[in-house]
Amino acid sequence: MPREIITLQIGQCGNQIGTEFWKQICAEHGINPEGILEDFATEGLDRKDVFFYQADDEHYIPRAVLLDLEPRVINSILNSPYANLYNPENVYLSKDGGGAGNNWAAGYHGGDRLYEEIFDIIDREADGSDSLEGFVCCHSIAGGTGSGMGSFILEKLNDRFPKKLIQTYSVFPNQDEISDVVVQPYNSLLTLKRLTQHADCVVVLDNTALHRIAAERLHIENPTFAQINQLVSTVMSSSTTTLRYPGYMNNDLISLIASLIPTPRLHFLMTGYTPLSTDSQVASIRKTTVLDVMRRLLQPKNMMVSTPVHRQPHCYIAIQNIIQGEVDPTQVDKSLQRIRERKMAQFIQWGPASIQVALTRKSPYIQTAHRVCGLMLANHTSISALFERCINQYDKLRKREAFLDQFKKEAMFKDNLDEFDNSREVLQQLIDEYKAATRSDYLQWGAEKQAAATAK
Amino acid sequence: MLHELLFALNGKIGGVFVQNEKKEVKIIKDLPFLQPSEAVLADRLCQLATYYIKFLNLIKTRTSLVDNEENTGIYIRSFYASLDKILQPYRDALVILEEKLYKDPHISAAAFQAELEDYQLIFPALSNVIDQIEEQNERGCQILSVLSSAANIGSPTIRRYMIQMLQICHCVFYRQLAAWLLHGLLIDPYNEFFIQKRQENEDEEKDEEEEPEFEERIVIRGISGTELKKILHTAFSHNEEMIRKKEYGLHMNMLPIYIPKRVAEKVLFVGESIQMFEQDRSLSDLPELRNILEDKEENFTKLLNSLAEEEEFNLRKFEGFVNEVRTYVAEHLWKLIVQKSNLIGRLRRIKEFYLFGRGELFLTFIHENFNAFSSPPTGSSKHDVNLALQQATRSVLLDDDQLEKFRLTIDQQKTNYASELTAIDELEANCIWNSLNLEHTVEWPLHIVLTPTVITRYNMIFKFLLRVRRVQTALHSCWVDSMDTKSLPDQFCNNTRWWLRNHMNFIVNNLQFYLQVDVIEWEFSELLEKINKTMDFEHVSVAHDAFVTSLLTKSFLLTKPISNCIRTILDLCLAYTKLIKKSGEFVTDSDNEFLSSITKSFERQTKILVQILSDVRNHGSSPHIRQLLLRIDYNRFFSSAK
Repeated sequence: MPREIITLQIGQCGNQIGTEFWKQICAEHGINPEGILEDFATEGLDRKDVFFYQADDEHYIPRAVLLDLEPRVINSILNSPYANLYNPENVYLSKDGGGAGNNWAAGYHGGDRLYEEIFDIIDREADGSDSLEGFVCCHSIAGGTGSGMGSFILEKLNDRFPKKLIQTYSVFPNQDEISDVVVQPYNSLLTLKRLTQHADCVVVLDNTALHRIAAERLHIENPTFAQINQLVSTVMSSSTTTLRYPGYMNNDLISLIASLIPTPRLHFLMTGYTPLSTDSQVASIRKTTVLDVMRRLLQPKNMMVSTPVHRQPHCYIAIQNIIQGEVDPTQVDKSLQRIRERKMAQFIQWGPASIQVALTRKSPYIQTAHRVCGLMLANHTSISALFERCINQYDKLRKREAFLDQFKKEAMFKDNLDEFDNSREVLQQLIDEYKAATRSDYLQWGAEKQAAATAK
Repeated sequence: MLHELLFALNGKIGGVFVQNEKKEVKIIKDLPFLQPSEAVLADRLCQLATYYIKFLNLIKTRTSLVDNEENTGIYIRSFYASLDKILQPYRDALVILEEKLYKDPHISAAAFQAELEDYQLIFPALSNVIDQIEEQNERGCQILSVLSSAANIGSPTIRRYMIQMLQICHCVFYRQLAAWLLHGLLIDPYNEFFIQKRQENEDEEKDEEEEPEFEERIVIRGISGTELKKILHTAFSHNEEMIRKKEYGLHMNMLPIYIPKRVAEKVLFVGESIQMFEQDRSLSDLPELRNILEDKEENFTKLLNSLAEEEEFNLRKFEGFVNEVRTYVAEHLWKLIVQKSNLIGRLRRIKEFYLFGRGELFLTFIHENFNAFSSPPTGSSKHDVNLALQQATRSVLLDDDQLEKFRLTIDQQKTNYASELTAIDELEANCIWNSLNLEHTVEWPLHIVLTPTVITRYNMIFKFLLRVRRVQTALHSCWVDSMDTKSLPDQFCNNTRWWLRNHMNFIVNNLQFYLQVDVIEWEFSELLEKINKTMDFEHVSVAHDAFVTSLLTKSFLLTKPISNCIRTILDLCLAYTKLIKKSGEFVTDSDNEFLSSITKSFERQTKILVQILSDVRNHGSSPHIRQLLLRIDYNRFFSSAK
């Protein structure tokens, strides 16, 4: 009954990063691609049952549900060595296999159409856990299935599983290159509304930053999906280490995110990770200390989000660092002190805020060049820059009334485009709230807004 | 006449030599056949007789085997026995004189004078020593001190005599020492040894005295920094003393002056260790350990005997011997406790349970039973809590046998929760959660380290951590509830409840971080480092005591002003979560009032906490206070608040 978490992988991107995530944590727990515990891992104290359950024949099976409207990615998973890892009943592929055609509305209605079947799987999976803590969804916000069907599932999960946490790992589109998905701004906008209103915690994975990291830090000219997904899976697996290993704190998802999210809507988190692979040469000649790790985590070049972190008046609402490896606990206090002295991180003025540090062990089964590695989960007001970018792009398209025909085909947009306007309003409010949070009068701002809303 | 004199010198006075009222032996005045010069000579010899009679009387009364008031102590008895013994040469001299007298009737008193001149020097010195002992009522090992300082004299003759006496008296000392060092036995019917059983009430009295003073001070809220520091300081030092309370102690009065305290402490340690070791040894399943000194015992006895035979006490050799025994015992105990009994493994286990090292275990335990244990305990509660703990243990995939030595019990006495708040109702004060106690079965020989007192201290921390964890769980559950408002577009963060929950959550989280990382992990890693660095049991034992003390100190459990403040904050958090759970979305006016009173108290208490912490920090005393303050006030929100 240890606070199980069910992972939902929706759409191409969701399934790709999901698969990488399972590969990674299987390796960390010593579970082979067939789901069988390796001989060297039988004595482990790790908590596999948060993410896996054991079938009657001792196989470890991920608590994962794989959903897609088109067969390409799922088929490739089913042809990989990991084909037998998943419960085949949990792999759902739309019968017609037509996909959502990168159209949010098609994905959303696809979800609606397949509602019964999808939720049969989710319900069954939820019933199979003793004290389900919540769901983790992997998807992208720009495509069709992950964004559209993902949005639909988020809405329904909220209704069907009240009080269960919903965390998403949402991939944001790359702004540096011209996307082949022309309606990407529409899709993103509509998804962001759901993420704002139906998710408890959104871990933003910004493709722009991921590509930049791959190019600048890992020196990969044209990073493949696999390489990018590797980065994502590292973030995902690191952020769940405290749940998967015995330890003295942050033993469940809620304790990890509750302190990061002070108000209901400001729940979009950015991540940073160190050391990134090419740091290995550097790392081998210098001693990695907690301070090093914590300092590097605060550098924008290690962050997986392309936002102006250091631009005034943006600031941190809260920071949670997860540091893996053998570290001296006495160093944490010194590092915190140093970071405060040097003013390396700017915090909000309207409430108490700090860097929380969780120390956790590393998987004994994976050899890494690094003694210590760290993940930062941060709630930072500059995340609003991503939303602003999205609104700007949306406005440009919308002004030209471009590509709206595809959407009008679906029921939601048949009569009017109110849903677009509504989503834009929700997103604008979110941006306003993030901006307000940079000021010390955030609380008064909220009070005024509230008063205005009640007066209406 | 000379025969008369001989008798007198031998302590038998007669008609010619009489004792005056001062008990001095004198020759009667105006004997016609005596030259005045001879009379003076005789009187001078009579001084010896005076002393000798005094000695004889004392020897007789003090060495009689019947216990009476004047005869208390082995040391005093052996002192007079030694006195008796060293008077033998004097008696021999008298015999020689008598022989001479028979052979040569014309021998003069001057020959007596010549023969006995040495004793004119020695007897007064002896008498001085006796006076000193008798007048100051010196006893036990103090006699050794007196003798040894008397031996510190320029005259070689006197010195020789004193040393001789000292050597005889040392026999008793060495015998007691041997019993203590080699068998851990304190054979000391008259309390004369320098190691003595502690009197229980000594420390307790002190406790009672200090207690009310604390209570008084807490009431005052606006105390100045200096005063506060003083309070904290007394609280800390007071507690150090408590920790080191042991069964045996050094009796400094009885410590011979020529033995330094450091050596005495080593002696104390050895005996204590052996004694602890001998206790309940039958319960052990380590058959190879029949005696701690094993084959070394004979060796040490020999060494000790040769020391006793030494004419003069030799500190260097003595200390060398004590060191040797101590090192042997300490290393042996270290091997037994750290290696064979796996002390470190046990400490890790204790950390997992008492110090919440297994966070997920207690998370599950609290989560699953949050409401069930919020009622007052009943007859079956003890069974229920243990069952729940067992279930939680299984669910986090711990083996049952890891739990085997741990048991939960319910405190019978009602916790006296004198809270200043009405917020904490009876129910909360007496609920099962607050009366849980974790028991741990300690088996031989780990009981030397994990004494009942130590376990009680661990329990204090356990209760505190349990409370912090429970409050945290309750706050998280409120967080989930309030996340529901995310989809309502017009709900903004001004909500007092949000604001309050955030602050509470922040304080409780950071308190937990502080306790787990800055205190427990930190101290534990230092403890392990110390244990691994040494091969000496005493160091291990001291390190462990210091560990437990630091835990208590750093978690402020012994610092009433701070711990009260933290307790109140935790109480307020619980009151808040109860209110929120009860009222849900619809808040009545009375609830609103209650909420605002909680808010006010919470604001006040956090302010006080930060104030106390920064006041103390400014006085630069305790680094851990700075650590907690750093975490709570990281972005200077509290300290900059007006």
